[in-house]
Amino acid sequence: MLLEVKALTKRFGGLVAVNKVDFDIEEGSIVGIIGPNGAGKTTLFNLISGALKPSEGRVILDCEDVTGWRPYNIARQGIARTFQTTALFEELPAWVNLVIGYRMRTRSGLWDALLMTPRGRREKKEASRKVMEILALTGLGEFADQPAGSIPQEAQKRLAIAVALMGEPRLLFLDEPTGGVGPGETEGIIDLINRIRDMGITVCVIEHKMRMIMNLVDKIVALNFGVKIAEGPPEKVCEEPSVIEAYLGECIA
Amino acid sequence: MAEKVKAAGFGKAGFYLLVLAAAVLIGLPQLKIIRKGTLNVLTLALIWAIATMSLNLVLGYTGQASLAHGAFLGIGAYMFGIMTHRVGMNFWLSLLVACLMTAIIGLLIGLPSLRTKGPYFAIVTLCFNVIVFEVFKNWTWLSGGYQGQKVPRPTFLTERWARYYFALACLVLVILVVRQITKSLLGSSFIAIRSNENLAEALGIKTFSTKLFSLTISCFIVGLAGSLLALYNGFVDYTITNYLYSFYILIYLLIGGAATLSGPVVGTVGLYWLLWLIESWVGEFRYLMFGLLLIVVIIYFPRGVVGGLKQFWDWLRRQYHGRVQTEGEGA
Amino acid sequence: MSFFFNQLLIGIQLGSQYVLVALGLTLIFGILDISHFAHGHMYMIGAYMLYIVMVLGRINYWLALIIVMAALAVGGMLVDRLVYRPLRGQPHINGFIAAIGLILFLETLVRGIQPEALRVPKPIEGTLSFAGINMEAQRVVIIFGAILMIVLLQLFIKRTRLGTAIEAMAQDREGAALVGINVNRMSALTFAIATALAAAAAALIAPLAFIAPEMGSVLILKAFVIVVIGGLGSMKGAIVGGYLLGVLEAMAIAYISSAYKDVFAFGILILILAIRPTGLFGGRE
Repeated sequence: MLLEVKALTKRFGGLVAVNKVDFDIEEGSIVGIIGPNGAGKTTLFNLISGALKPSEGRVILDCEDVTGWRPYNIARQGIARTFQTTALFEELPAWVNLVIGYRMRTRSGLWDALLMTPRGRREKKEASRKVMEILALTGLGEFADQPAGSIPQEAQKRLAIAVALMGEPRLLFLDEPTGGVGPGETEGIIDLINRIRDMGITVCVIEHKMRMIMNLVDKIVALNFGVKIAEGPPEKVCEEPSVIEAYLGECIA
Repeated sequence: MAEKVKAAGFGKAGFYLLVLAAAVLIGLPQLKIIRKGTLNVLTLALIWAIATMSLNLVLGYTGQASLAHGAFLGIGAYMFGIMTHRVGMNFWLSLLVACLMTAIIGLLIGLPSLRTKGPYFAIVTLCFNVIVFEVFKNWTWLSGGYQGQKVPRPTFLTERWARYYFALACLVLVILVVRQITKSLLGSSFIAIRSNENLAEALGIKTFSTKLFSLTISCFIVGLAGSLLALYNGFVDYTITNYLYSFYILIYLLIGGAATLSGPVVGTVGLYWLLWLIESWVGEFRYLMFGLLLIVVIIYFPRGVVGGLKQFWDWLRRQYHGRVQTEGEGA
Repeated sequence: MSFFFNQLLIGIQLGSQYVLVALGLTLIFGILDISHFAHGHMYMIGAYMLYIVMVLGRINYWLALIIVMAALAVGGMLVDRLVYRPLRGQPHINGFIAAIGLILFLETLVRGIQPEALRVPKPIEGTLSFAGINMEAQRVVIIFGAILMIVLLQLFIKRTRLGTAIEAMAQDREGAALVGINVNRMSALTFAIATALAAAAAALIAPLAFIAPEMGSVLILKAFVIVVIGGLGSMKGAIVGGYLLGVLEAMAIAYISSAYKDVFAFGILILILAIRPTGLFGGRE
């Protein structure tokens, strides 16, 4: 089991945004997290990725308890994420965004910079190579030199995923990767997610568009009002009365 | 495309400009028409440019607006003076110690203050500067009060032009150091923090220690500038820790162009020289121009002179490339 | 014992100034999210205005006070319109930098025209004695003047529509914007009120102090300390913090030393921000 989430809870004063949520993610799978707006999906991501500290509960990555770790440590452990409102280094060229995504896997510091050490040169070469690889994977070659904020919306979404991939994660969390993206381009992103899984990376997707992820994911975790209401293969989850009620029957493909 | 990803140099045009600037700066003292006064002013301008480069590292590249660099400048100056004069240490060792001490103090100040962001950090550092100023003003054992601290000059720097070349050499060294940093993986951490600190943290960058490191290196460099100032004047007093210097360095940086390599030099030398030129006309009012200029620049030209030129150059290049494209297709 | 009370009252007088300046600053910070670093220099301009109106214009102190407040209200609105409005939406630090430019501009302008310190005559001479305490009449004027201003401000905030809007915005800027409050109008009004308060503070202290170009420099830093500690946008915080700082400083001067009195306030700020980087009352990032 790559990721185990146990009784994860987050309270904001009187409001319980996430309420004793348990679920697992198996290595190599694609898991979808669904739920209406305000169900607590993004908060759940934030708790797992370290952006928020849980009030209760545990997050265990590959037998390592990472509960409450700082975001940069969790990233270094192998959990990468994207944000619902696409987060990029907007004024920097796309390729620089990617290099930054790889930075945590390098150890070069001041002396490597000043003295052009072998390690410094090697790591830069590695970064270059990886940038080319990820650009090809995500189909962003044409935008490499442009400022990240100036490329088309859909390409920005792909770039955010690309940046997350640069860090060589074991587990990738995607927060609404097709948000604001048209139907034709949605296909492209789904395709990308499959290719990411083929690379051996486990993926967890928050999505709204039920129909879209039905065919993509191995398992669905459904949330409503911060509580897990269902967990299992897509077809089964869609038959759950509580899920149907929450989604008003949108489930059925 | 792979070349783009490799550490790109200045680009052809930038390189030629650099060679030109170097030739001018190196050849300058040899010109007979250069008066003594001009050489003095230029030397001072180069020393201040080193201070501006240091702020460029921590503000331009890492995004932290330190208003304490006036204090650090003064601390470096005093450390140098005290080491050479009171402790009797050798020149080069004193220089090194002064820079190291300033860097260490920068580190100590950064520890509590870098947890704050944006304008809060600016205010905290400004408060620190004021505190340092008051301490130096009142603690006469340390600062020598109104008499100040004498700074002996080594024999190889007695000549005016020798001091000029020494300052120039230091500036070139500092520019190289900053260049190496910004083109490196360490530099990518810095600009990530400046651009989007939350995202940088989510990507595994240890933002606090990186910011601290940037401030420390920056303080090492401004310590050098302070030492050179002390050396140049042969003397320092508490006024060298004035927080107004923090403002001036900020202005030189922003008007020249933050986050560029030549911006700080262009801004400092240009403005310093300009100030000196108009001094005879407008006297005290020259700083008024400073203030106005800063407001105008931050509103309408936030990238400064060099930044703006670069932007314009890039825009020109894109226009040119676009045209080549369509011509090809037409055929 | 009477020395202690004497110092306490001086502390309250000192605090009165801090309160008036900090109130304006906290409103601007809280409502408009602008680090109006030049606020201290508007205060300085207020003092010089008073000199011009009182000494050159030969108008009596009380009328001059009102004129100066009005003039500076306009001045504040000008600053908002010309300096901060173009920077709306830009990173916060840009406004701060523009303020630095404004400070340099104002201070050099004044110093160039009138480098020597000025004095204005006191409207009420003499000292008041009560309960074993001797106090200059003007200090009492300051204390009561400040209280009057605070009360007027509170009345405005609680009793008028505009005032309620301002309070709403100070507490929740985004929410207020949603309700459709005109940002430009609110901006101008906030600056007008804040700068008028600063002018009042300057005019009140002017008879007791030297009017000099660097008057506002240290004051603004202390005002920031108060605002950050008391809470951005919190008028209560500004009032409590201002008086507290004034009293603490007066006590420090009296019982410890006067050399490092300014350092005291700044040391506190660094200490507090080191522990709680978002200020004592947190909230606004």
